[in-house]
Amino acid sequence: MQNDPASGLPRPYFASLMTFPAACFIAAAMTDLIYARSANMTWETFSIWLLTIGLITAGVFVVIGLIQALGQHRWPSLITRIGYAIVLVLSLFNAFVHSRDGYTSVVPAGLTISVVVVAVLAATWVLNQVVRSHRSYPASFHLSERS
Amino acid sequence: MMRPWSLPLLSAASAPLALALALAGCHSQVASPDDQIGPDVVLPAPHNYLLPPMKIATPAPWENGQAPTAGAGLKVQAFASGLIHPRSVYALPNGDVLVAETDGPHPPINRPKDYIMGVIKGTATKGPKAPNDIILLRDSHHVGVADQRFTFMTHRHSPFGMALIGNDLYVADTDAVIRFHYTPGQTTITDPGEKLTDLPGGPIDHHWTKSLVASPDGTKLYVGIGSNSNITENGMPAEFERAAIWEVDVATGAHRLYATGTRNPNGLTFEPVTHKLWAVVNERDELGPNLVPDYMTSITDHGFYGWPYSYWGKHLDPRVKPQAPDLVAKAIVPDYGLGSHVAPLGMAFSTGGAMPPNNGAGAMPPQYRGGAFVGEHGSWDRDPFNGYKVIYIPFANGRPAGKPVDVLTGFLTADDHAHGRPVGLATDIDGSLLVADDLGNSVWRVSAAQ
Repeated sequence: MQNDPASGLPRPYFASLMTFPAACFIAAAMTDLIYARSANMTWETFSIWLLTIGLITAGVFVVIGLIQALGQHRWPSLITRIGYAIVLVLSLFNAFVHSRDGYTSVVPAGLTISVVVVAVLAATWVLNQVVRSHRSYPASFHLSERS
Repeated sequence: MMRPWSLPLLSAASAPLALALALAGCHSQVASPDDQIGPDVVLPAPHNYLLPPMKIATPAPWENGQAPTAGAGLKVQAFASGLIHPRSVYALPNGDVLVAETDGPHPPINRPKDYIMGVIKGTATKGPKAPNDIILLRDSHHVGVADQRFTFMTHRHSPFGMALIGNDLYVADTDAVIRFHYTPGQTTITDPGEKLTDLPGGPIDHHWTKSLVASPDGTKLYVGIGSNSNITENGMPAEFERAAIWEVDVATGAHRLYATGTRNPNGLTFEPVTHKLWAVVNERDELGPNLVPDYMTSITDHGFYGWPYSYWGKHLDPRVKPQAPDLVAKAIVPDYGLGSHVAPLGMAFSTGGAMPPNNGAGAMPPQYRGGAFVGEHGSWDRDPFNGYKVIYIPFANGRPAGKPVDVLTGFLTADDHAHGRPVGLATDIDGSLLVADDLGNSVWRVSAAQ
């Protein structure tokens, strides 16, 4: 990964790593939609495994992010931190909903939460982009990568 | 009552989380068990859980001389102990008793929940894995204690039901009914037998016990086939010809569905006055501590008993899509509720010992004759516990008549451990009651206190 030209330290890995669990949660929303249309339990099974894999890997990446933050003082942006905190709490909750048996494991609560998670992920990325596009001048706009 | 772990979640919650928590709901009421015993039951509204209630009784096996407590006018003896996971008993006409030391096949992990439930439920069992053998016990001195023990059959495929028609012994493994030639007095069978019919078995095999009974005229076998899931979470194709009672023709092995919608039917037996088929049925989980009551019922030809679409008649289960209104419209209300999550796995009518050698003298006091004994394996998803005992339900004119009476209790300790768990039942030729205890690794014999 590219180092920060100002400090020479590596950029925070957290946001890049979290694209994997994010992809799992987005895929879970898609399989939830297919289940809601088909009532074929295979799709619900996809969803709960995607949520589980996403949460386990996210747990590892949060630890990596914390090590880097506390050890190297490289924090991900405030938007990234808040966004993923909401995503992970909702997805943990969603995994319990998806562990119910039958239709109510997805409809309505599970599907609703999955869609909200996708919306929060999208908002996180968009807000990060907006902030980044304003970041260079002046430097005080930096919300991210404070050392 | 809010589940304790949900509090930190709630404090971190955004609006949709709080909304969904509200959906998860609260459950404070645990109805008196009496409200769900008998022909009329009280049914609360169903709940959706984030984390369903669980309360497992950890094993504390019987120690030397310990035994369950017999009901009024009864005594209990250890007919046999030191068995490995005895799950069902069958009394042969010559007085020998067959016991299946059996357990289900290893279930596959389809969802993360299956793994977690396996770990949690594993804490309720103890000891070596069942050998899937059938043991023959013989009480040669007629004292109520088996003094001889033979390995009758070995390494079967999760055997459970047994039925003798003439000299043909039928054994219901989890995946087939097998016929063996049996000569009275025989203590071991080594021939591989002859398959009468396949039964729905693995790879999932969620409810694996196949209860078996012969029709009074000996031309048909009735087989209890449990569902392949709690409530269709393994998909409807996995439920093909399951949650049903099969009628199998003894001559040809052909079968038809005698009744359907029975989630996990066990203890199949014919009522001695009306010669009607009865069963105890384990109902669905995760709708609440007081849903759905397990039941005992007469089985009507072509009857539909609700699963998966509805329970206790026409109460729709919100977890099943698509629904089947045509079937629900004809769903039969069961005859007699036993309480929620008591897990009835054995049933036997009390004949009172009408058969030789007693010729009616009977090992049971008169107040325990003519009705049904039911063995309740006990709850794992309910606080406080329910079941963990053997009860007697009086009958009159072939119908239940009155409240249950405790026959065997004391399986639970005051600090929530279990000494044993009653499963399969049989009445032997004296009319005494035999109870398989798969946690206590014993067979208990209950007869009149004298």
